[in-house]
Amino acid sequence: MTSELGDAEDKYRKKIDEEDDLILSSTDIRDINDGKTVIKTIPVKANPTISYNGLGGNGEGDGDGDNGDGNGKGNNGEGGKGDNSKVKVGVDKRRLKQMMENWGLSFSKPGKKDKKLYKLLTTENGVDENQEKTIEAMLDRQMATGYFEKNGFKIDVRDEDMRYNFIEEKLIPNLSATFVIMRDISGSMDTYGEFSATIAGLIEFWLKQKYEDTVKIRYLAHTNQAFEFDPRKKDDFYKLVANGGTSFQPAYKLVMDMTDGIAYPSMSPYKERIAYESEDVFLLHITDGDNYEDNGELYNTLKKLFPRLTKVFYLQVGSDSDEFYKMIKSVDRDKVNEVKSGNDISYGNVKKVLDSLLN
Amino acid sequence: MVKKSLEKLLVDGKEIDVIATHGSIIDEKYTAEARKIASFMINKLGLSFGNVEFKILDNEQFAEKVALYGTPLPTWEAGQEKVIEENNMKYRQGVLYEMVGHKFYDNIKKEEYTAVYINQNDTYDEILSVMAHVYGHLHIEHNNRLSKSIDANSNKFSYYRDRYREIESRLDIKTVEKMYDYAQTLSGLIDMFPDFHKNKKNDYYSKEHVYPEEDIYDVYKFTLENVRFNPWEKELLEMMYDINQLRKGARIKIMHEGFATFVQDKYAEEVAKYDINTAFKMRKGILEVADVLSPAQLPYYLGFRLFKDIEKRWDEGRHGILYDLLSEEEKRNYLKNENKGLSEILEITKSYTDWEFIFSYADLNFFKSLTREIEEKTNMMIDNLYGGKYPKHILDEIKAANNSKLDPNILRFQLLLETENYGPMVYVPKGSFKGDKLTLRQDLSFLKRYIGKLSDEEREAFEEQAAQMFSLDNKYTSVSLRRLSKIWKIPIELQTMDADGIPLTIESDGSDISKSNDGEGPKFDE
Repeated sequence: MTSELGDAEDKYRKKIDEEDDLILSSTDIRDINDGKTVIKTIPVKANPTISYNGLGGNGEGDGDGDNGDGNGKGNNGEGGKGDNSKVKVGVDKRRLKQMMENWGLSFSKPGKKDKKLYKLLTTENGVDENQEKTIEAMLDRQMATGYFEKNGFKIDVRDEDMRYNFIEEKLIPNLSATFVIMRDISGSMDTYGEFSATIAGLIEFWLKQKYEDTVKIRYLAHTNQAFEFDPRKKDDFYKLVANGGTSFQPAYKLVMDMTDGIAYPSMSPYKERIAYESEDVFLLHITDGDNYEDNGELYNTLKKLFPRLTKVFYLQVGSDSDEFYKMIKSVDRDKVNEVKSGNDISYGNVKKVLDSLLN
Repeated sequence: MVKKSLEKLLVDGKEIDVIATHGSIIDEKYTAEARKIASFMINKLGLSFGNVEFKILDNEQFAEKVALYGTPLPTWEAGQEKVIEENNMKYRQGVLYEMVGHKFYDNIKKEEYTAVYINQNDTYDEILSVMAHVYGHLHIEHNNRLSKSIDANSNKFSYYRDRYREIESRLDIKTVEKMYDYAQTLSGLIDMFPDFHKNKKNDYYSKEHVYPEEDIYDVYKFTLENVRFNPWEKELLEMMYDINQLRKGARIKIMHEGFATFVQDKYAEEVAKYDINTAFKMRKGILEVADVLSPAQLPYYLGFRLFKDIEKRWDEGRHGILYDLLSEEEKRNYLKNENKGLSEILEITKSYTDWEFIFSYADLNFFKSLTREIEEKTNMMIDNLYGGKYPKHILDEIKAANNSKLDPNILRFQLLLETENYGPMVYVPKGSFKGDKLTLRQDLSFLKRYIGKLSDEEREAFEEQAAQMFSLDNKYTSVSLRRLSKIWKIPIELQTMDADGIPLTIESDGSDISKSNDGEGPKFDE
């Protein structure tokens, strides 16, 4: 785990040993029960500032300036003089570390590892121990319980001393999406160009709000054949008109091929697989609902395709046939937002369409 | 998901977000509780604050955050702070319940949040109580004029950290640390009270050319403007200048803690309506912090008491010129239900600093009752300590000796003095800089405000004390002057006084220190 402080603690330890013009003192950690016994002494250095004689030490900082005695009422019971009290151990962790290194117990130098120690630390739990922290915790325990004073230093790692490196998993949201606009361009659709452009544009705007500029837009057109249209000419996309029958099977097959990465008919110079595993894929299908081909095969294609899509918007303009409208709903009720609409760009109608498409 | 099920929190018509997180996971239980408390604070007490993220941390993480608060750079000082803090928490010495961190910008939500760190070793009730306390802090951070003027931002500091590491990797650690240490010495010379000085500006039509044109109290800034540094040195010093602006926050410490405790107490009152047991625990926790007479706890004790007092006075209408004109007996029987306590307190938090707060709201009556309280407490303590050992008349003597020093006037006086004195005030006198030597002079003119009110006898005693207290003749100052001289590369002299009140000039040329008694000494007059 990377820390914001980095190696600041090491810098501090080196700084204490260095000789400079900083002022060296120490702070004691005392036993919580009697308030007199010193458990641990931590050496402290301070940067000097221009300061008063009377109001001890440096200014305020964030710590607790317990030495401020200017208000003459620091009588809180526990400030007794500890002259005749027993002082147990005053060894600091840094010195112990040095001692350990002298005894060849260093874990920082790979060649010198103590076998017993090394075994204890690595074989028992094959996980990710933090050896340094484990030893520190052991020393802390030994010092606090008086074990160290009696027996001197001994390797005695217990369960409660074990420290592990904590690996934190972070989930980073993937902010990218593909939006596929699929338009029926058969002869019967030529009057609905403006209306479908409006709806598609508004949905596109909404997606850009949600995904910022990371949303990629793909334009597909179909009659009884399907192909991808050049996104650079998207203004012409809604004016496309062709003759011929209408079939949905090749259109949905085309989306399948794009997600699979198989070659497919295209007028666009950009050919890129839709990576449905790692991003959201949205499909908007605009049609008048007439499907001349058999629905059986289409149903199977839809069954395979839908798990790869995040959401399908189905917009039926004009209503000739309800067959496909019912079928697409039956494939996966949760994924499809469908609406039937007339060719009317009034506020009320557009709002109605968008409301039912986008919930 | 949690949010939808809860009511919206509206502050000034804008919806705010309150969440509690455990690592990278949202803690739904605490989020719901935190929002409930926030709703009470906003709707019932009229507090306002921005988006909040409560981060529940273990001891080590907490210690790191504490270390990074004051010194956001990865330096040895931050490491030292962390080691001390971690050990303190490990052995339960001075446990920190909470810390209000800096603001940060959430890149995904596109909103600014304030991070609040909470110790996960607290009990459930403690955490709720602490959350209430924190909202008090957040209100002041959001509304107080001084607090708003300090630009503390996590994103900025993390940029500083990156820059510091980069400088460190190009040069070596020792070189950078040396400059950092010098910057820390300089930071004692940042101007904490820009609004207190009466600057004599140079007359616009004047033809004399002097430099500096007015008394310069911000010596750090003056150094940045006048010394030629290497680019990296200058960048580091500027970074440290910006970071050390945080020190100004000390000027509202009493108000901060007092208000937070006041609000926490209000929340305990609210809890008492439906759960008396928890409320009792909360109240006990508050008193453990805010009812202890030790210097470290003073802001809690004093601020809490003072806010309580103001609330009572303004609720009962006992304030204003007309009230002051009444006789003692009339005052005792006076009652006018105004219920303006809370609104007066919210008004105070907007623009006051500690000094102004105590100066205008803590009157003599308040300090009289405070001394009475302190007296009771010391008496109790003396009974506990010596009760079995000595007969009663000796106990009474001890008590009398202890309490004779307690004087409401002096207490008020000491407090005011402390709140405008977080370190020596030093300035570069107008027209003193000619390029070969930098002159610094101590400013003690604020003492005039207090001396004027004393009798002659008291005044003499005070001046004797003041000379001992406010003299700058010590080793900290000598080392600092040597360092300053190394930064400026010219001799530095400081005009102060010795412990007897005689003018003293301390001079350093970077290696030696020399002292002489000629010189003007500190400034006493405005």
